[in-house]
Amino acid sequence: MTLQELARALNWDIQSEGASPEASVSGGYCGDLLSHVLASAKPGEVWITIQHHANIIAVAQVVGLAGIVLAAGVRATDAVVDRARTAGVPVFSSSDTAFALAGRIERALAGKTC
Amino acid sequence: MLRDYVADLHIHTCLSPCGELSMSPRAIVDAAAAHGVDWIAITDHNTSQMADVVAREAARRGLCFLYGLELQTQEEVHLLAYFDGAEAAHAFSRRVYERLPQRANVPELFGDQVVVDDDEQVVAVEERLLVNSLQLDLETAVEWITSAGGLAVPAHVDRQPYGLVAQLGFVPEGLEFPLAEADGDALPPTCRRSKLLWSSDAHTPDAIGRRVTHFRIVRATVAEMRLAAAGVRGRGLSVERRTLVPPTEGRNA
Repeated sequence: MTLQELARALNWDIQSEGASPEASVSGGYCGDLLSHVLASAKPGEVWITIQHHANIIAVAQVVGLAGIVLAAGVRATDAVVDRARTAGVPVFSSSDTAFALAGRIERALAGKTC
Repeated sequence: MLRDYVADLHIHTCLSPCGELSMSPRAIVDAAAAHGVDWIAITDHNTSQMADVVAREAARRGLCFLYGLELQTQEEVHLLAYFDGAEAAHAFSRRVYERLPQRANVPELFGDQVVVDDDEQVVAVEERLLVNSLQLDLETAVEWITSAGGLAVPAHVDRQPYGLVAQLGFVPEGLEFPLAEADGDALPPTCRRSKLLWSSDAHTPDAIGRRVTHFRIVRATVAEMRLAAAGVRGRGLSVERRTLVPPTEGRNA
């Protein structure tokens, strides 16, 4: 499933489009401590977080994440959007909580109704 | 003229919910003096309310004093804010208090938050939970501190959670800290432009002075801390971990 399909299926708000919306999503990762994400997230995963410091963009780049979904209605700040555009990292926002998002993403990736 | 200061610049009082009630101004200054510390800072969570009483006690005992707060930013990063004078510190403290969520403290869960006077009598109870994240981002916090003449120092950068590097992975672009505090023996690579600061982060009197920083400076001020970090004209700093002899054993020896 591509990130674009996932975003559409789960009704996410686009905060920053990203360079490769056709990239496929291999899984997901939840976390707000960036040191943990750097250490444990895998390339191609979509990252669910409420951390919205601009450092999230660099973390997504370093790990090679498919994109970032800000959970629980958190919106990207101007600093995040600026860096996301420059870096080509897709950023979305969802009113779902991290828990609900994780469940819905997992079901969607398994080909079930989300 | 340059002289050496043995500094412990991260100490909580009985006002911090995590600080023991035994952390009274007199107990703090007694412990500092007994442990050979001659320069202390009070750094309660998100407030400077207790600093004046400790400053007076320190002055009575001939210790140097620095005003401080330990902020918790919106990213849950702990950031020390140091000021030379009471006025700047309290003005800053009032400003950040407006950004502190209006959640009440639950003493049974978080601990007591009491203000005491020079006679160690409880004169006020802080009702709002102090160990909470300000609605203030890291960059703005640093800007507020600097524009008020203070010095911003990220606290225990390598600690999980609440250390800057643990929370944010690395020092954000555009931020530079002359000094950074760490639990470990060295700063993480991302802090390489900062000089290592060690303090006790004491919540109990016996911890005061266990980890100190030796400053070689002209006087105990924020400006001199900056000069020490830059190594200007013979100034400098080094850290030391010390094994302290409990006072009772010391007396018997």
